Amino acid sequence: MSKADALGWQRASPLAVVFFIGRIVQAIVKNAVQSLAPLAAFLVAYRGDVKSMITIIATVATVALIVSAVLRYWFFRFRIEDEQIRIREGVVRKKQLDIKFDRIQGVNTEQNFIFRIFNLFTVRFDTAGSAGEEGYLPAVRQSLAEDLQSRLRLRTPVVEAEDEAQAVEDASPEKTLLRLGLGDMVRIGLADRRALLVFAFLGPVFEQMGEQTQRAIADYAETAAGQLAAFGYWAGVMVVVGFVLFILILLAGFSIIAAVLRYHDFQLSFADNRLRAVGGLLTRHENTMRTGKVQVFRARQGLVMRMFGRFKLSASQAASGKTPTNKTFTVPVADLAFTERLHRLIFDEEGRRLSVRPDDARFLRMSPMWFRSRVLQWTLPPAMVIVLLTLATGDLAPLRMLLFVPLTVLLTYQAWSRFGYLYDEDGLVRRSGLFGWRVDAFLFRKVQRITIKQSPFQRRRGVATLRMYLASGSVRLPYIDARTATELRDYILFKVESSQRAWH
Amino acid sequence: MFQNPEISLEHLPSLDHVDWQPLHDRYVAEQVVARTGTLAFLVVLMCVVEFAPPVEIPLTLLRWGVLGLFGAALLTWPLVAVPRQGYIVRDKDIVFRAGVLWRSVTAIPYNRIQHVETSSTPLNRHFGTATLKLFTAGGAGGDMKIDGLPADTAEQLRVMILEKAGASIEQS
Repeated sequence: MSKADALGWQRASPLAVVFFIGRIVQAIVKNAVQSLAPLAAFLVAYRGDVKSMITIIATVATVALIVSAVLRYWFFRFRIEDEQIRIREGVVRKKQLDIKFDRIQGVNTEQNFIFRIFNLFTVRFDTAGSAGEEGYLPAVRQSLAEDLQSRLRLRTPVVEAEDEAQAVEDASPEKTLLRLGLGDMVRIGLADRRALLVFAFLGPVFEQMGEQTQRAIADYAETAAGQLAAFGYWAGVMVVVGFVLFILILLAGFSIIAAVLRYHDFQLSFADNRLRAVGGLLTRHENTMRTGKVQVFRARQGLVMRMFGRFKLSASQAASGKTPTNKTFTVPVADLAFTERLHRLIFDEEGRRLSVRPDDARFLRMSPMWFRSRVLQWTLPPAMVIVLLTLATGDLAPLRMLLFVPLTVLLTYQAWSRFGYLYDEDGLVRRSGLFGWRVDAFLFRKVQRITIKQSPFQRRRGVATLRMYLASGSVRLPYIDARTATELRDYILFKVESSQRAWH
Repeated sequence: MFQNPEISLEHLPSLDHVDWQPLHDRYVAEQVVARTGTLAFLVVLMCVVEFAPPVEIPLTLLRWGVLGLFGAALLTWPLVAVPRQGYIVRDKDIVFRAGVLWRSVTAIPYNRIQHVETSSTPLNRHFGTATLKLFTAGGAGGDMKIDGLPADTAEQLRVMILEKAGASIEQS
């Protein structure tokens, strides 16, 4: 019996109550917001003293929340054995969870700001293939979290390290690969597309503000307009431009703050074939992923990231059984040199020869038929509708809309010229993009199944669409030479079928 | 001793010159029967509209004409589509093709198969057919679904593929 096992069933730190309060609140927000509606309706209809009623309800709710969190803490016990971790939890409905160490793919830790003061961690286990059952240990001491992580490291199958030189390298101490600074936070924030979503939310918010506020704003706008009239047209334009700029700066500020919250002091390190990322201002997130588990390595950039010359990198591992969301490991911002370095690190010698530089001259293009059929499918039908409309009504106004034709043709051509693929004996890299780039890389031996599809048009032109399914999604090569497609398929099948190495 | 001889691309096994295994002889008949059921339902629906209309609907002839054309296409389609479907069982993988206009060929290596499933409906059993479903990692639902296999073939395939998949799991 090992030392850890001798401890038997243990409780988490009492501070785990904080964690359970968080979980309960999360559950309520996620599932039960609608069920609060009757309560709200009751309050609106209530004729008595609303204020004291709200106070009573709030007090009762808070007490109930704390009591149930304490109960959940009290009934949460875990026991670490040689082969597995056992967790017993549940106040009314009892649950026992046995997590075998060799089923665990990774240990992720999280630290919110209260836990940080006491140096406690919440440990989450990545168990691929489990039926959505999530294992976690709240508020455990650092020594235990580290003990669990080192246990898993010892269990890493030696299959991955094939020769001794590699094994020696594996034993080397953890190397820090990347550290993100404030400049990077600004880049992440500015490139964050979610900032635009805020616009979508602003509309309903204004609607909710009520008539009075709206009238006040309208009054203000009117007087302001009256004053502006004195300064003339350009002053008005300046005010509008200023307002738009103000909103944009505000949004950018918010998303930079969000980036700092999530990625402050982000550090990426590598040891024992494992990538480890730590970052976050209030809650520190730690993620680990074994490089051998990576199915697809992806680098992408939008317009903003392209201006900074940076990419967002992600490595995805196999999607687990019932939950279709795949586990991804993300590096929010990195330059091209680091992108290439991480790609080589993840795919090791198998990925060493392939370039993930999207501007590499060796990339092969899709057939021009791709461009042609895209234009035929997406541009021609709407254009014909417009022409028919003009003919039917005799009104020439809709013809102006035909201006979209050269625009979409141009965009389609741009997309075609950026589309490309590159392969060697071990893997394939696909690039695409419109304004920025997206590069997907994978190893042939990790492919799960392959499909070749041909439309009648494609058959006539001798092209085909090759689709390679990996455990984390598929990569499509549309409109490549049909001969190349079948040869690639046969070669990939050969690689998969002759591979003795674990694919996950 | 680990060996890794070079393999030239020309000598890779290719799918160009192989004989595709056809599906069960009676699968076309089964499909026609199943589709007749669908069509009968549509005809009943149409009759309700015709003889007890909730609101007056014009163009009676056109409606029945469209239904007639649709029904004819529905019933004759299996005659065209089923012969185009076929599969090949090889030593290391299974390949399935389908499609009349849009043609697809899917291949799954046995050493990537997670589990195998056979199923049959009462109609299937009457015609002696069964469905074989193969699952790989990361896919939602069946990754390869072969309908209209002779029931005993489906069962043989299930056992054989499981054996092959299991052998590869033990190796890795």
